[in-house]
Amino acid sequence: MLAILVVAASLVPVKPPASSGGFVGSMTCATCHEDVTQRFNAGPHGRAMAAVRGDALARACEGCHGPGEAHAANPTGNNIQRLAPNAPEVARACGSCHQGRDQDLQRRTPGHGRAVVSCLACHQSGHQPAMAEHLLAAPEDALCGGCHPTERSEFLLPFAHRETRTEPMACTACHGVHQSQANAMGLSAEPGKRCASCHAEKAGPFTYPHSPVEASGCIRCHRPHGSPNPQLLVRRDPGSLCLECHVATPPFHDLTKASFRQCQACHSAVHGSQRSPKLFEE
Amino acid sequence: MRGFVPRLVGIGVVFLTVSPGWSQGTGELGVGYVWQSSRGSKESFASQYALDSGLFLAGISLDLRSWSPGYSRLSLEASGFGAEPFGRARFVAAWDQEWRLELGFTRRERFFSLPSWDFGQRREAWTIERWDGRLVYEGFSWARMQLSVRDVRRHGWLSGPFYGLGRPYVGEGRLAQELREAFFSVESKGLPVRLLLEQGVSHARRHTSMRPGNGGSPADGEDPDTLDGLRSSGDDKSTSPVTRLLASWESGRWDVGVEGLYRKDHGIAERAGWERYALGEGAWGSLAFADALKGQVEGTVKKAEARVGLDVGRGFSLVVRGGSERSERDSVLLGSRFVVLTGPGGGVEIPVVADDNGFFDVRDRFSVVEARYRAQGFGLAVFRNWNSRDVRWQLGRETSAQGPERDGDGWGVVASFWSGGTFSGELGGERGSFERYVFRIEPQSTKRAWAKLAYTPREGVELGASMRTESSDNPSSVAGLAYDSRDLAVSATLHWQAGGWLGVSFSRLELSSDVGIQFFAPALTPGVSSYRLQVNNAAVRGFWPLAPRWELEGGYTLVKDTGRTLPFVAHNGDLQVSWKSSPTLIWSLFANVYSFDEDRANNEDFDVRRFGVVCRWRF
Repeated sequence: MLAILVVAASLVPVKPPASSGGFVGSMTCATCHEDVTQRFNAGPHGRAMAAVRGDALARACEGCHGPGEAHAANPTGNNIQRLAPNAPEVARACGSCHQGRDQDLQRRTPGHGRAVVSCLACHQSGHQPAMAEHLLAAPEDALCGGCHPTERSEFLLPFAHRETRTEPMACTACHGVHQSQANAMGLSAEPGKRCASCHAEKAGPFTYPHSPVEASGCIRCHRPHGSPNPQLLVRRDPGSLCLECHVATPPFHDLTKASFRQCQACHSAVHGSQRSPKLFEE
Repeated sequence: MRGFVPRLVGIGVVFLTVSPGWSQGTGELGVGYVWQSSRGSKESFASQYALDSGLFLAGISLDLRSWSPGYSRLSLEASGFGAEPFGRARFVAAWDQEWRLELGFTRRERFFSLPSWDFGQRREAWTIERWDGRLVYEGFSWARMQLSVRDVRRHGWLSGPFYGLGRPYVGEGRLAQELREAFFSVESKGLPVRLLLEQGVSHARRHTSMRPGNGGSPADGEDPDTLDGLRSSGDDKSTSPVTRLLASWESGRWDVGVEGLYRKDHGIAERAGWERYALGEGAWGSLAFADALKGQVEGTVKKAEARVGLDVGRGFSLVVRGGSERSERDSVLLGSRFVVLTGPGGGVEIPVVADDNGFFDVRDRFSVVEARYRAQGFGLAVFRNWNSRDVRWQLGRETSAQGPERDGDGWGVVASFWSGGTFSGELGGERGSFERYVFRIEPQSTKRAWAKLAYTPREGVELGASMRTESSDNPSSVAGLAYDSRDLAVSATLHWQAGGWLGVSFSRLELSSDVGIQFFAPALTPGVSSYRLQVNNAAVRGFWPLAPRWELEGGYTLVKDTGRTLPFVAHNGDLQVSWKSSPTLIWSLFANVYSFDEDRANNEDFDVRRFGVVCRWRF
């Protein structure tokens, strides 16, 4: 059924872009949009284009806005591609140089694709002065936090992955938005593998792994952004966290005695052990 | 402070070496000093912030363009170190329009000790240092090549509980760990099919050593059986080569991408330990345990993923995605263990051969079908997904083999809308259900809904709001899981023409979780593990150019948890006034406050004040 749908759908014509005709070059665009062209050429996007390929600047305007012959002959807003932030043409325009980046985004974070988050939602076009590295429209925490405010506010909790006094750790330190920017180790779907790039000692490999860590990663027990609980744990009392899975403890684990209320006091190798199947020692 | 001056000198040498050659550049150098005073628990404050008094690098930056023939860019940035627990430095050089070199360094100091939290007297203080480097070559018209390296080191000490003679004792140890990674990648450019091939290798090494803490007494108090000898050392080494291949192709209508990853893990862990207990403080003799063990782990990870997208036309598109990840791990432990019992009448040694093995295999599969529609100002996505997880494990011969499987499916819908650059929003919901459980706390059904709104009524004014609700459960025959979470956030930012801005935000996070448990007290007793969180978070931050030479920047954050598990109030604030004494020299005075107050106890409360001065030279 799906195959029939796909084949049938592929026969339907795709809407052509708004711009049409041939290319006229950036010099022609500059005759009317001189200030825009100058700002772009002097900005980081223009400089980068000039550095990678000298002749790229000559077609910079039409590289994103499409062929400008018809617009030059009759300058209206209807015969040039205007690239509103959520327009589908944005990904195609950016992709003509930044090949595969939009595909990476769609595959790596499909939620961005479903919510029509385009390149221009995060990156500047290059007409304005650069706000941050990679032409980001704002520093990472403010940019991502604009759509993910809960995660942003979690960094303000007493225990958090902070840098300096109150600044959150960079989002892309863990979240590889574009696949090709993350290296192969960071690519893994297992959240624990991302944590292991800094907390290598927690990742093993262990002769006796702790099953939830091995199967589901660190976020089974820790909140990665911030937590009111020490060690970023999802519970204040580590003992109750253990008991939620371990209901069949041996009968001598009498919880009326203080020493049995803290499981870690004996089972200290909670991330895995190299010599004890009961996780007594690392 | 340790190592701050040599680091500052090193950064300064680079700074002065490269400075004379520039033709076009900007830079800044700022150094500060901070005085800190505190009331209450210093260890609690250090566990949250780890700030201190002393000298620190407020910032150094240098950005040079065309600084020497052939060189197009050279930049250096650094901040932190000294009284700041976090320091970073970054160096970028690009030359001949083909090469680019990036070097980065970060350093974080960490301290943790909360006496009321951990019965086992856990304390730790360590430093983690990360170096990373990237060399990129863009000289080929058809490919981009990149070599990346990374070196992460952690060193310090910790003390914590360990299982001794039937009860917890305290051990103190030193840490020495390092992780080294290197990756080489080739990424095509300008070809119809984009290809990325990456080959990397990761090597981790860890050494630990332990000695007795707490005077050899058990962690839960005095006892006639004391730990009078402990020597334990361990060396872990692991090597993981990994290969990744990514291919994607895009036409005006089709979008196809495939990816594969293969990783091999090889780990060896050597342990040598000896611990001796003086029975009745030595009056009855001693009991000693010794071991010499070698563990070996071999594992593989195989991952494959594919995505096909089709632009159907008239705003419709279809996306099909699927993938599989399989990790297999086998472990072996060999060696000897000895129990040595010494009494007034002599001693006896009981050797035990250690010969054990286990495995842990996980296989995850997923597939998703999505239909999307996008029109002027409106987008809609509907998706359906299927997942499965097969887990098999046996941790040792004495444990039984487990082989749970888990299947699930779900669906979701996301609607987004926008109006020019002034208004945008997103509404979404998804639901998933599962038939079986790998772990008892996993949900049978999960429901999630969210809404996000952003409004820019005029240039310089940005308003935002978002909410999310999520609930999951499973039957009482499994764990009686009842999990509910709701959060709400609103924010407003105002920019004005003089360059000032003010941002305010409020968020509320509610979380309740109940899980049925069973425990011995001393008979088997049913109970509920209950957790309640109700965090309100208000923050304001702004920047005011008071006069041509005066600037004011500050912020304040209030976090209040009224949930019944652990209610607390925490707040922190900072205020900085800056005076530009000349076009190139800026002086700043700043003050920070930090406070933490638990409702039910006060032994971890703190009030901390910090005052400082910073001098910045811009050029």
